Amino acid sequence: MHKAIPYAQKSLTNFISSRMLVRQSEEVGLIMYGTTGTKNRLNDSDPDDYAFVTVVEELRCPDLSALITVATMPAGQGHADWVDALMVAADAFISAKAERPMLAKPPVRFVLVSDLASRIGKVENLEDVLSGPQSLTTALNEHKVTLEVVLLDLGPQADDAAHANRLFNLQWLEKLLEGVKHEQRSAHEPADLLHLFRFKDVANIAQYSGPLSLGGLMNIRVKAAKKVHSEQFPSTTSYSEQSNRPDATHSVQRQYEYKLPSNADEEVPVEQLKRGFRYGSQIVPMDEGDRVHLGYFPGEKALELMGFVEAARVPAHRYIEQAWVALADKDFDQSGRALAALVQALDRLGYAAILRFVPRLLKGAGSVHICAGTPLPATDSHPDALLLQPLPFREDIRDEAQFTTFSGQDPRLSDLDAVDLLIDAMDMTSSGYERLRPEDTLDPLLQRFVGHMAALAIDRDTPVPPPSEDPWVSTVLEQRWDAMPAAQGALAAVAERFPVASAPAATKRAVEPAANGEARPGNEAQPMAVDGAIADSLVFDPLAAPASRVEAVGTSAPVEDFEALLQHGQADKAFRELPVVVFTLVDTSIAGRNYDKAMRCVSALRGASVKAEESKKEEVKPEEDDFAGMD
Amino acid sequence: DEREFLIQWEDGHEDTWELEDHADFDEELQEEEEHHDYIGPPRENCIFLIDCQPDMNRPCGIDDRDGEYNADTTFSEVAVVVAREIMKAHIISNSRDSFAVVLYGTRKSENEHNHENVYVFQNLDEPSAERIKALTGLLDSGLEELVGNADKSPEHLRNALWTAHQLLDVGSSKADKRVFIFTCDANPAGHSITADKYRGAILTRANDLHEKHVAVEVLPMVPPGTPFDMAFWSHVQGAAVADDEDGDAVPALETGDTFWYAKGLYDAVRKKAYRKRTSGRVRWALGPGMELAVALYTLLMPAQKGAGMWVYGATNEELTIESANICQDTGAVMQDVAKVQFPKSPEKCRFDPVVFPKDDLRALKYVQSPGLKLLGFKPASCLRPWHRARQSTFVYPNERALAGSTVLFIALWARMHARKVVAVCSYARSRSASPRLVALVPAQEATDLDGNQVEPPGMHMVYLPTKEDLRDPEADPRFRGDAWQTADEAQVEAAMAMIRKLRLPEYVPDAEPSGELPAWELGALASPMLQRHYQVLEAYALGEELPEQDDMGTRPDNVAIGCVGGAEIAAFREAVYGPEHDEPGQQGAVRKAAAKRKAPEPDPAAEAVLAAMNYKALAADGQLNTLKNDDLKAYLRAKHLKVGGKKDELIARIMEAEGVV
Repeated sequence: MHKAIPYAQKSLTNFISSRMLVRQSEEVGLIMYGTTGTKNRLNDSDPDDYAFVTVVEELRCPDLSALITVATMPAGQGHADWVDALMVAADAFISAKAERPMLAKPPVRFVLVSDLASRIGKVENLEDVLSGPQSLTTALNEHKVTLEVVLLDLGPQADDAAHANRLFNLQWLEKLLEGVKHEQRSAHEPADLLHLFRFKDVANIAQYSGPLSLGGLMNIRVKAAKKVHSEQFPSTTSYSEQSNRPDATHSVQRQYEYKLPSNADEEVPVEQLKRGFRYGSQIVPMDEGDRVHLGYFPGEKALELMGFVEAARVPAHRYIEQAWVALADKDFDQSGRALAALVQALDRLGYAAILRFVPRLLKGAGSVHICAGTPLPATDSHPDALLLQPLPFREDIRDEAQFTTFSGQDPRLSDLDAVDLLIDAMDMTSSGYERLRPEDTLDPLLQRFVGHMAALAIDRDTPVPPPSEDPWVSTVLEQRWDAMPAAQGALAAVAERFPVASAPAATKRAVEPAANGEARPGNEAQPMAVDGAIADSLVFDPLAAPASRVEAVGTSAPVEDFEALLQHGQADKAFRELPVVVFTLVDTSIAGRNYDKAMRCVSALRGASVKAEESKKEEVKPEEDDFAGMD
Repeated sequence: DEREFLIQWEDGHEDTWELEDHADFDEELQEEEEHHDYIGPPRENCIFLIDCQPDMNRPCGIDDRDGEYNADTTFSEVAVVVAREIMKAHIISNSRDSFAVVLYGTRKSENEHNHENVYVFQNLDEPSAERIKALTGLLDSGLEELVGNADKSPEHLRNALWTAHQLLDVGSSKADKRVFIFTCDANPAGHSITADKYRGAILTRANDLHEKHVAVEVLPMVPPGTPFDMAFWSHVQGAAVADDEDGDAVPALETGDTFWYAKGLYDAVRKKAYRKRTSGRVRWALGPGMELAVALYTLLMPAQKGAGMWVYGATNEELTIESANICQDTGAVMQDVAKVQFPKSPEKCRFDPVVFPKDDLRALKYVQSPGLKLLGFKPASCLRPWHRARQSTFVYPNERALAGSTVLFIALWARMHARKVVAVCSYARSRSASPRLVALVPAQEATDLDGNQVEPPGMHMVYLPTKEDLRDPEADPRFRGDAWQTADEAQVEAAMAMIRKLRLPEYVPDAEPSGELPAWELGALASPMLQRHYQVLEAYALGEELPEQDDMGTRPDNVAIGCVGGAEIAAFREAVYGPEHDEPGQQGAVRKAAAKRKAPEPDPAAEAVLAAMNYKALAADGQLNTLKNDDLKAYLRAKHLKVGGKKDELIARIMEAEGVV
């Protein structure tokens, strides 16, 4: 875990800062286990047990001292036993609750962050400890605790023992989770721990609660809440250093003066101000009472069906504002059935509902949204729901200009291979999970800001970290060459096939249809090495080109590896390894994400087999069936 | 939401100072807007030349979908309607554009240079309520009444073009200049032996316009289905049109059909009146030292109501606003505020305020040079429909900035499309913009039946939300409940039958009533909010009565829905609610409650609920308000008490039940 500690630390620092800024009544405690020393109540009463578990921060509303503690927490050398840690956590919570009944107010959550690489210390009675009548399960349930487990993958350096320990721990953890309310998340690399906590947890509030009306003939009771809502950047305020007096407020106020353009010296008194609105070249003055009329009065709040259209008629790139999600009102079972039927039917037909949506009114005035209601079919974790995506009005469509077609400008087919290689080399799902999934990725700049504010609170002379040293910036917004080993080579190949001039094109339309295979004019005139930017691309190691260093078929670019091996006379190895990769891809695929890739492997394998006139054809068939079965 | 209101009403006022810090998002929109206007031509000077020869008095034979004109309206009147609607649209979108309305082939002449048979109805100027009203008045009194129709003569067009030239000469030289000609005459030069001479004379005038970079558009006013020979007119439209910003040729109009066929004349003109403007040109870096150039286009932008301003009460003159930062301790004016404090309101939280240089705020937010940076590729299925923080931007290669960009762009686009992947990039719009994650989604070109491009080829840049922006109400037990209903096959079938029946057809002009719902098309409806805002302003400007509010077709046509699919809705209702349960709602809730009330015998589940929380103690301590409504309701339900009402009412009811008052 040591590699992950700095990331967890940053994450916790921001979490604690956010609890000092918003949600101030929430209490936070921090327990580290695997610490060099020991400090907890259970160990005090029973010195043989619960060693290496340290209550770093008692459960309380955190303040600056908590921030300092977390920011300076050291990595430990003790044995890490997650069961002990949870026992200590439960004990700490129960004793705190005994003193402050207010803590009974849910939600209570324990967040366990671990790679589970070290084995549970005491195995005897483990069953009882975890799920007996006096057990952890009982305690967690009794106190309505949600157990959130963040499971960090073992790094590539992990040894067999670590893997065995993790497997052992996982069995017991699963047993525990069976009995308690829990959430489970994965952190695939230490940097993922940066994204543990939102700055603000916002309760889901129904903005609209009422009928979904179908032609005025039938109502489905629904509740609609925001699905997407941009979190605002925390605000700062101007600060004045002009006064040194102890009672100085340091506050700055912005003052305005209104003047007639014809007389810049004289200020117009506020009583003589009036609001005006532009209508073409005219300014129309409006009294406060009149301004009410400028609003639109849509009547009641409403969600009403206009009709249904094929989903292709409401393409996603035309969505204009952030989406809502509508669910059946949980208090009405029959509405649940009705909405489920509607959503399933839309999904099967590939249709969307067109809905008139008035989510809120302010003194009778408000906005109407015409929304595409697209189906969000039920899964294990949520019921059938409708996404409400606002569509543009006529005035919102800015530009209907025509763009030159791409056909007739096709690049050479043979050059496209280089692009395919690049797409494979920079595949963000190649490790079996999706990197930078929006649901898992915090806003790096918001976190950078909060992190720096915390650092300033601890030491007011902390300089702003340069972006390159800021983990949020460098892991989210920068190219991760470490995670894409073949990318630079693939890029060099693309650069070679598709030279981009460093200077502006001499003619307006320098593009020639490249299909005829002729070199494009203009590029010779501007040799690549002339310009610094392009010359840089020559720094790429030519040996890094993928074909020259392939020694095995990997999962990131299996087809290319396979072909490279074939070319280099390692056909046996190639044919042996590619089927293994297919299975690996399918096995590690999250919801079919790798299937395309696996399919490409299968066809590459088949193609090569036919070519080599080998008898491997039979092997290919069953694999394909297997694959289809999993889909 | 109060804030939204403030932005709309109080722009430039101190309230927006309050908002400035928060409104990063709106600020960004605004900046983009400014950027947009900056790059494009500053304003547009536009002249409507309306042919008034007798043939234009024929009825147009088609009903406008927005009801602005009908089949009996004459062609010349349709042209006036279109001019008026374009002006109205520009009041909303770009009120600084100027327009002139010139009628030619009229019996009366009215213009500064005494050209015959040319009637300048409105000089080149910004649109205003009076001008809109005057155009409406022209329609009411009838064109013929006012200006009359002269017999066809080639002189008319020549004079009209000359007048247009002179009108445009006085306007701003930087403006983007356009002339729209509404005519039914394919051969204005006529067939006489002198036709060639006239043809030459007209083209000379047209060329004068072209030399001044005036775009000339001809709008054939012929009934749908009637061919219109563009042979002569294409010369009048000339070469000046063929070159927009990126050197793309605007396709020449070939037949009259194109026009009427599309969506009605107004939409067609509106489409032509828009010019393609980049909202930014950036580099897309694939790796170190390897980049291509792309241009960004704003195809969608939520239209805003015009911001209010302060005027001098006595004269309605617009006021200038000067602002200054005043130190509250010394009362001195601060030229420069060098430091900022965070948090803004320390008294509202436990975070001791920190003070730091304002420049650090920039260093914290602006961490990347402008442009797109490729981070990797993902299957398109990873991009879910709600992964959109705002409307997307269109990305098209910019060959002019870096030669070779187009071929590389097309190569990426083609393979991304074929392999169904999207590119994830970080994107900083400018040096003073925070970078964010975006996804580039390849888009195929699409054309309508007439070969007009309806979807351009390129990529859509989707602004990805972050974990902070995303919410999961559908997976939140407090919102969705702990258990939920599913539908059986028969219910889904019933819903499918209803959906098929209630399909909204595409818009086809002149379509016969087909027993379907009214046609619907994305982006065809006008915003009732914007239209109402300007409608009210127009009425105030003219001192007229407030007109009725227009919903602009945003209300469902329940009569049509009932006629077309009433039976299917009824069948669906019966499938999901059964023959008795008509409406879930008040009635259903009452039924549920009533069913519960019938069972007063002790219920172990209810006992458990009551035991789970010490309601009595909390009530005694006055701490019931610390509980969630759901917990309060659980108690009330377990005790078979009334569950509805506000939180205070629930608490009062529990207090009463526990004997604590």
